[in-house]
Amino acid sequence: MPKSKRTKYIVILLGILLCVSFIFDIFLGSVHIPPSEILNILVGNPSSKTSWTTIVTEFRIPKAITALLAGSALSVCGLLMQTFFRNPLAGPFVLGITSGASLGVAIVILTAGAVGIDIILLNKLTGKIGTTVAAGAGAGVVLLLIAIVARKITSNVTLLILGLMLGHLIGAFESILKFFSTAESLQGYVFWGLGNFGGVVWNDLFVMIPLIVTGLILSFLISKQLNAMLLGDNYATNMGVNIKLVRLLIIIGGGILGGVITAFCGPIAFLGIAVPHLTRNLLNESDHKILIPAVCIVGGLLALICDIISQLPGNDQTLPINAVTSLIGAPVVIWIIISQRNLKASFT
Amino acid sequence: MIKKGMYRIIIIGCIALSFCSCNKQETESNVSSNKASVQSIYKNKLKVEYSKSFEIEYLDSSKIVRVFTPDDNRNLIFQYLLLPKGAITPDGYDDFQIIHTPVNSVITLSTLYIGFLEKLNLLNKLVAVDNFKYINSPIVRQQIKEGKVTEVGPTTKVNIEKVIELNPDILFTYGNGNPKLDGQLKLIQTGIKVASSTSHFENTPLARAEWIKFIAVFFDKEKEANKVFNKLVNNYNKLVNLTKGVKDKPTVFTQAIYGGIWFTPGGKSYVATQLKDAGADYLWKDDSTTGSLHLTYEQVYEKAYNADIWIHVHLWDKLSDALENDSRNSKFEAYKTKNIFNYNASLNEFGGNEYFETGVINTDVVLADLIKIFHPDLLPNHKFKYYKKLLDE
Repeated sequence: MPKSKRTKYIVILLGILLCVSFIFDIFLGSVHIPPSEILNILVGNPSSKTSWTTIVTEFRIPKAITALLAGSALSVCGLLMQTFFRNPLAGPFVLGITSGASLGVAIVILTAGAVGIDIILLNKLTGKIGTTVAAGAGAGVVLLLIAIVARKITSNVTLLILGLMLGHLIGAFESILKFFSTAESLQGYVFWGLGNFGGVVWNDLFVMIPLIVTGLILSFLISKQLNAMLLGDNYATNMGVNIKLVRLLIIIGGGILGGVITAFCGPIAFLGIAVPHLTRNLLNESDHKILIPAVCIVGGLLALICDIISQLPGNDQTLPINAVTSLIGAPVVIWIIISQRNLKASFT
Repeated sequence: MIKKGMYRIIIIGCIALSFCSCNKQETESNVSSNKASVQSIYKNKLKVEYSKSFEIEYLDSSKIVRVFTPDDNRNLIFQYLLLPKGAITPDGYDDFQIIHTPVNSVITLSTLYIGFLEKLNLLNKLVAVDNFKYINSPIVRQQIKEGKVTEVGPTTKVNIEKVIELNPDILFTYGNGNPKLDGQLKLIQTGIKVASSTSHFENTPLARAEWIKFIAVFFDKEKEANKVFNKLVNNYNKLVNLTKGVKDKPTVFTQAIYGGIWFTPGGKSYVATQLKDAGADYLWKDDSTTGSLHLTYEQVYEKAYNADIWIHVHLWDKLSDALENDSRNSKFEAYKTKNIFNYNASLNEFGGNEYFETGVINTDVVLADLIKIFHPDLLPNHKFKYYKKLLDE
């Protein structure tokens, strides 16, 4: 079978799997609702219990959409970073954007507790709006910082190291804040760090969807330039690519994708690194015109599967989403590193 | 040869050890025989009736206090030998924390103890607390202002050097039953006497309040503790009798979503018991746990969307806080009918809640508040102390 045809079939198959897991994510949850009732609700008929309608329309559908968005956005962000830095271990965190978001939340939740802002205000800050704004602001500031630095520094390796160091620096600030904070505020921060798709409501989605879609379209539009960048900056320049502009677009696109998801769902681990590798392996492809949509699909699929697993269907308990994404993501990365000995080859 | 020598040493060691344990048994039997013959120096004795997690034993001239894990296994976690001041420690109490009573200076790492100490008129013995912000008691606030009481941080991150410097006769804290994890072991190793309660695991409000006896015994305040506790039991039972006849029990659910988890008290927790005593139908009453349940939003919604009353909602102050927590909270019937009550009627300037300070020892007042929520006609003259209804504003 010719490669392009094989790719097409795989992408179609993945698309079908995505739809199936999206449906499954809506059908399975910690409350048992008969499938026939869910079908009724989905086509707009009243269900035999009014609570079921609310559960499906207000909880499960937004949660499934969030998982899909988060998986796609983080995975495309990871792909952008891996291509940009030509480094297989790059992910949404390398630019320090997720760390920036974490710092934003840490400052708001933890310092509030430490310096003695009153407990009621603390409650507001640790609430959903407080953390979302803080994470968004933190990610934005770091993004701006990196964009400014990127204009001055032309070496991607330097930028990579800067991003990582920024992450460490932020981590150190976080530890200090954690040390001086009270048990309640620490608990709030820990919960935020576990990641959560279920906290996103329709109104949040109306903000998230346009931003994520913009980021994804932006990424897709520069796929030709991304292909050229894989071959090296000099090669790309020779091909007529405006390196400076593309770098800025990658940083902004990746920043929006990573930042928005982290702001609304907390830091979601591993999807961003694992999915681009998984997709490249599946398709044996390095053309971003195909990779970006495919990564979108695989990312969404994996996030939905993780969400289904985290609900532990048939069980009263749930797992934090980060535990599941790490449990699945880490072995994927390990498997890729072991199976693909010439990993470096696909990046140089 | 070397091996043979080793064996010999081990055998001798074993024999020596068995002698030791014999000796220990002897002293113990001596103690119990003394108990029968000599009149105890303690006139007032405390009997633990409600709590299964601690016990007090009176010997002729000493007291033994034991604290157990809050589960069914009842494993011993702490044991204390309380001796009158100046008494010499008898042999055979190596595993005990030896404390000379009455203690005169105390550090508390939970506001719960402030309530107990206040009832026993012992707040003047206080030298440090965990966090000033939590304190409501006007007496302690005054002591803080005068510099008589300092701050040492929470149990898990307590400032050990400061504690050692203050050198209290006893430090009151709380734990989950594992001294190593709860951070008390480190304090004990530095020579600080640590008295730790697991009262938050008790299944009934009265068992929780009974821990006042645990506090009192270190101060030789048996008489006072008995008086306070018996009065409380009396009041509480009177209120329970009020609700015994009620047929129409409103359904109730508690707490709210936090970081993707909805914690709610188990069906055998003291909260569940108190809700039952107040004549309410707690939706998780059939559950068999004493601690907290971790639920998802949809699990709670499925069970509680139609419930009459919603209580214990974090730090919400007004109805709109419900929407700020999660806009989907508006789907609950209790929100639509504005039947949300919270236990934050009495807060200090920092938001420290008096409920956590005196609510345990005033559990009769808490019960009266709850009865007023569920059956206002039963207590027409009662005024809320800890609870309030959330308003639109």
